[in-house]
Amino acid sequence: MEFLWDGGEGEAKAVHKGLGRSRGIGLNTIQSTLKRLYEKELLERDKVSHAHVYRPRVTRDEFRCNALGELVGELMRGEANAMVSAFVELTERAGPEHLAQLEALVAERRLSKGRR
Amino acid sequence: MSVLGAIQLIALAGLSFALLLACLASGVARFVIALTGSWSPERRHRALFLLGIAPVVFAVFGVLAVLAPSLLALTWPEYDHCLSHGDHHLHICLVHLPRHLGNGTSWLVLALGVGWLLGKSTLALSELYRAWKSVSRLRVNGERVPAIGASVLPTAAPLCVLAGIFRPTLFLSQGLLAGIAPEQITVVLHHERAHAARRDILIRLLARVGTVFMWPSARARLLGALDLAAEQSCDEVAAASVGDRLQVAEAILRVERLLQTTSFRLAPLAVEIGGSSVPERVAALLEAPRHSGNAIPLGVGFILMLTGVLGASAPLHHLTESLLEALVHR
Repeated sequence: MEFLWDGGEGEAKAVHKGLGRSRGIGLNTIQSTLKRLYEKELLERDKVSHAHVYRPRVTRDEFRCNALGELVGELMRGEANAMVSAFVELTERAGPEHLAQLEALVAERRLSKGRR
Repeated sequence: MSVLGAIQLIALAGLSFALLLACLASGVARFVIALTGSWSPERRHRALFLLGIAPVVFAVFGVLAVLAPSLLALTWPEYDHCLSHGDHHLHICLVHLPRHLGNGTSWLVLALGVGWLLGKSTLALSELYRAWKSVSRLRVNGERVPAIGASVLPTAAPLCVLAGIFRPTLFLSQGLLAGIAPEQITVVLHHERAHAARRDILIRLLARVGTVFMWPSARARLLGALDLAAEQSCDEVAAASVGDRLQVAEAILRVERLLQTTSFRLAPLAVEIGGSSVPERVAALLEAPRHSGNAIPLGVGFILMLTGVLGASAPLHHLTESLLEALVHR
């Protein structure tokens, strides 16, 4: 994705030349990765001659935003609780009325503390 | 002579100890939680943690105590006790291995126990793996800000999480930083740094392992009380650092208020009403701080009890042999 976002040519051989060789990744791996990204709707492709030419379907910012959104959803559902501790629990909420009462109580204490 | 028979006896002894002690811990959990309710959060946290890990730790020491006579005989053959008693019951011994394998019932019990444990372990490991992947993605998406000693996440959701077991990292979101006052950010930082210094995520993980044999409702109650004690301990650290208990209460309520406005949108099916520990934390901050008390006796008492288990090796060894005899050979 980074290669294509940076304007790299989207044909599998070109990606392999620009990215695969330096990292020791084979052409077949590059082709199957591009195909998988296409199936995940992150890339779109055109058939030029006998080869597919891929290009990003989402921008880098859109991708990051979506990925972060998914991650926030996982945190809010408590799916990472085994290794995460939050300042205030993410999965359980105090009732709205209870919260308003607590806020009023703390504000009252603050006020009386200020008067002293 | 059967090595498999010895392994079967040792595994049965370990499982039996763990289950018996977990039943005991499940029975007393409610009373211990009530008893420690008036203690300082720090001391309460230690007591609940020790209760949580007790079944597994004592089961391991129990097995060691049962094996102690044969371990002794392996090192100094002149202390071999098997020669002193007859061959009228089974031996849990690493020197004189059992002559026969146990009966079908004992294998069934063992298979059920090991299968259940393997199933639980697989679930726990897959949960841990998913959490590890989430934490890795947090690290990729967070931008380190040395000035506050935290990574900032570019999202409007009001997040403040400490993530990682051994070297936890603090993540704050842009939504949280924009939504709370600077003095409340200071509270959040003190609170989370206290969690990191106390290694609370690691402790919670150990407690989850230690309580695995407990009755589910008692286990949930104990782990919930442990989490609350950890949160309140860090609230106390933050309050002492900023010198104002109300400021900590205000920060908690502010973040809770921010989460109320966003959480139902972000995870509509996951959010529960009423299970939050916010009311207890705020109520504790409105009271005067409780004196920490001396936590050393708790640790010393725990170690003394473990030593007592090892010290009772001989009677425990014979009792276990007699009880297993009924299961394995009758």
